[in-house]
Amino acid sequence: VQQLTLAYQDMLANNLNRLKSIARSYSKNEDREDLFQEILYQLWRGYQSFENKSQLDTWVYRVALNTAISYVRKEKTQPQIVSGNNLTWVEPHHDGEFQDSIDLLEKFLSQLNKIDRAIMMLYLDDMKQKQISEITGQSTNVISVRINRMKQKFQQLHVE
Amino acid sequence: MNLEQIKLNWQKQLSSSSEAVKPQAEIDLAIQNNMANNMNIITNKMLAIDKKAKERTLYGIIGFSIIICALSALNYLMFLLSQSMFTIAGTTTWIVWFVVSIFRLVKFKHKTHDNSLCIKSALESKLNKVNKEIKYYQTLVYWVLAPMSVGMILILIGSQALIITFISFFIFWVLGMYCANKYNLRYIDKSLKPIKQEITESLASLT
Repeated sequence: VQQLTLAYQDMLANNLNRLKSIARSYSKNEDREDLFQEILYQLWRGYQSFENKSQLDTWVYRVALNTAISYVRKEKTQPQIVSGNNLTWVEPHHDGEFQDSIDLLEKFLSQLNKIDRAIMMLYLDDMKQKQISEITGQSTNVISVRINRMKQKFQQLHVE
Repeated sequence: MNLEQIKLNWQKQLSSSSEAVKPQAEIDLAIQNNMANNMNIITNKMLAIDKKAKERTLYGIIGFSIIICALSALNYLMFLLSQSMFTIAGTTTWIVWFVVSIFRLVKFKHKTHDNSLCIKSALESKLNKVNKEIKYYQTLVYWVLAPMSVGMILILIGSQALIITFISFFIFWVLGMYCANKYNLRYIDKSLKPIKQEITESLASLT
């Protein structure tokens, strides 16, 4: 168990910001921590049976995006585990133009449907089309077309 | 700003050591603190969920057992009073359906969802699961309580119960079925239908 926990922690350390980005993109402010924790929990559950059949990054994205896409806000009937201290959620903040560009992308992502948002996030993380295809279950041709459309949309909307 | 430059900024933000933005020591410390917190929270969450699930199961088993034991005792009493064909048929129906219901409930509870599939397959599988759950909760009353009530009615007929007993039982049973059905339908509307809608919309945007 200890070894598993350490491996899980290692995996988490390498993917923490990715997971936060996903939680940020797929939820409203008040739900972010809930979704983030749900993703961490699903990863923990799945990690125990992860068999290296796919790359770890691909697997992490699959679990996180699958959790996020079908996430529906639950009624607050579950036990309050985080005692109001906002323990897990530290909002990343950068300065100047860097933060502006991130804000711009997040605004653009929020305008996309959940599937396009996932594809765009994978593209932004420099995933190959084959990997995106493995994660989404769509053909590389479809992925390519969708990415091009989104890039055009982004250019029209935001690039001077 | 062009998209390629913004993409690079995005990747910098995603990498766990965003050295361009903050000093490394601060990042390491933040990650360490965050990791420790995350692990505590996840462990607590898992324990809490496990505890809640066990409590629910326990309460469910206790409640269900009390009702079944009470009704079984009543049936047995009726059977002792009159061992007619009706009571025998009723008792048999009751026992068989009791075993079938337990088997189906256990089988249904054991189905889990695999989140590590590709998004398309995961959504399809989740939609399938949600549809089954909706159907299950919509019909639970009919395939668990209705057959059992047939068994009990047969026992009551066979034991030549007083008409007042018969009517009281019937009212009690119908009320129970109505409440159980209403509770299940409420759960479908509040919990399952929103999930189904989310999944259906996402699947539609995949094609």
